[in-house]
Amino acid sequence: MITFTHVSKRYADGTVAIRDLSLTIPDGQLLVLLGSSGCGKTTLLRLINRLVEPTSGHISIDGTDTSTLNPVTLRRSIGYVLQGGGLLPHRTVLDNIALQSQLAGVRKSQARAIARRMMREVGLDPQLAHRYPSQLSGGQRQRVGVARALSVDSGILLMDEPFSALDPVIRHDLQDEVLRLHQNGTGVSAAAQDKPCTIVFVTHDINEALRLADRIVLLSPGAVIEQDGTPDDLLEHPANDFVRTFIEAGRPSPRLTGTKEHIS
Amino acid sequence: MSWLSSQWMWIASLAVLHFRLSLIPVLVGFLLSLPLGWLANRCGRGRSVFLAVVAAIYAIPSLSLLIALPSAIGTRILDPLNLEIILTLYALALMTRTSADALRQVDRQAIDGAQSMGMSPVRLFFTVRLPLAGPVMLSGLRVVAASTVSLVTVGSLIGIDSLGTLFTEGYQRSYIFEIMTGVVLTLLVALVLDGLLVGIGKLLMPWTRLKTTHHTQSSHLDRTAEMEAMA
Repeated sequence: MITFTHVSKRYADGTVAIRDLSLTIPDGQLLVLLGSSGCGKTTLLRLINRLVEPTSGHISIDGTDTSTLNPVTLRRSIGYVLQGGGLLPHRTVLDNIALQSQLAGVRKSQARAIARRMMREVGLDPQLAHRYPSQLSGGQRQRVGVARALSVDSGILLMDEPFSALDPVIRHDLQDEVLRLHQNGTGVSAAAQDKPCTIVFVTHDINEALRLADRIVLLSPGAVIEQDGTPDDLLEHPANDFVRTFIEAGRPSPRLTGTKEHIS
Repeated sequence: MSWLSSQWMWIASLAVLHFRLSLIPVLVGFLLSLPLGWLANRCGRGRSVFLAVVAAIYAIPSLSLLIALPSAIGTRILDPLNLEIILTLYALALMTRTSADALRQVDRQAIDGAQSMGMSPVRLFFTVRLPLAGPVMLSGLRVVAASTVSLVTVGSLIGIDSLGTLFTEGYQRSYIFEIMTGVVLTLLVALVLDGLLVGIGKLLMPWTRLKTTHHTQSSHLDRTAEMEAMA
């Protein structure tokens, strides 16, 4: 369980990214943080693994205040997928994935074995193992990023607009992958793989949110929660005009799509 | 021509000496430029002043340094160490800005990725930032190498043997061919050192010599898929 208690974040330049936010994310939930750019959703995500430190308030994971933990050790226990993959251009695909386990103390040969397993897990051709990231397509790079994050055993996966730069077909495939991983669980050990993992997914795309989420938290600038509910709640009972406008702007209008029902 | 055939062993030994005299300042200058470049990047607004001051060392005339240095550090005037130190300073003056820029231009995404995986700052510097700064550093180092090889010849003015000795001796004897031999061989030493650096670069940075044909091909496929999806 991840808990935010009265968290605020003001950057050095004076920008207030988050204003007094409290939020609880239960184990096994696929939570989507939805909002337009600059609303503080990425900051919110990066607070969880301490890539960003709060100005005030507390973040805890399973009851432990994260500020009492070593940030480097904390990050080794949380899978993180960045937009573009965040891969190391000077390492092969296999070594990029294996590095995550190696950082956790696994020996190189075993880390590579895990990496090969994770490649299969996300549908990457084993022949790509010795390619460098620049030799991959955008979709393949993103799969490597996911495979890397999967080798973390904690059952928490943070995803920061991972698919927004990809074309629709590949994005759709990868969304399916996320849904499957959420059900099957992540990690290396059997224990971690049995139960659904907790995924916090950041996106600005309402359709992606509706397709993936157990629960959507829609944010306006300052990470103000405009609505917190299931996809159905958002569509059928928008809390206010902000929510209504956001949904209408992002959803294709019925006139353009005709009778085709293709989302959620 | 008879000069060349009778003196070739001496000339060859001068070339080897020249190569060795160039190598040490290039390597030591490069290694010292790393902490200085790193430091410059941590200076915030002082960065450009810091780098300008270091670069200004290059403007000090080498001959004056060659004469002043021995009394400053207590070496003998003919000690090749004087030349090595001065050339190292010049290498440092040229290389520090390149190292600072190279370390700073590293792809933010890669740093972010490494950090989010839980890489410690020290490990991140040595296994991510430094290697990714490599290609830019190498191009700077090649300039430094060429400059150093040519500067080594100055030592001959105060009697430190190198291919520059062919200039001073040729001038004294008004023997143009000897001077020309010195020029050509200096160029050759510079080319060999450059080739060596490029070779080492390829060996240490295999990812920089990739053919990215596969990549362009697959992004073409991505585009096709996108067009199909839109149709």
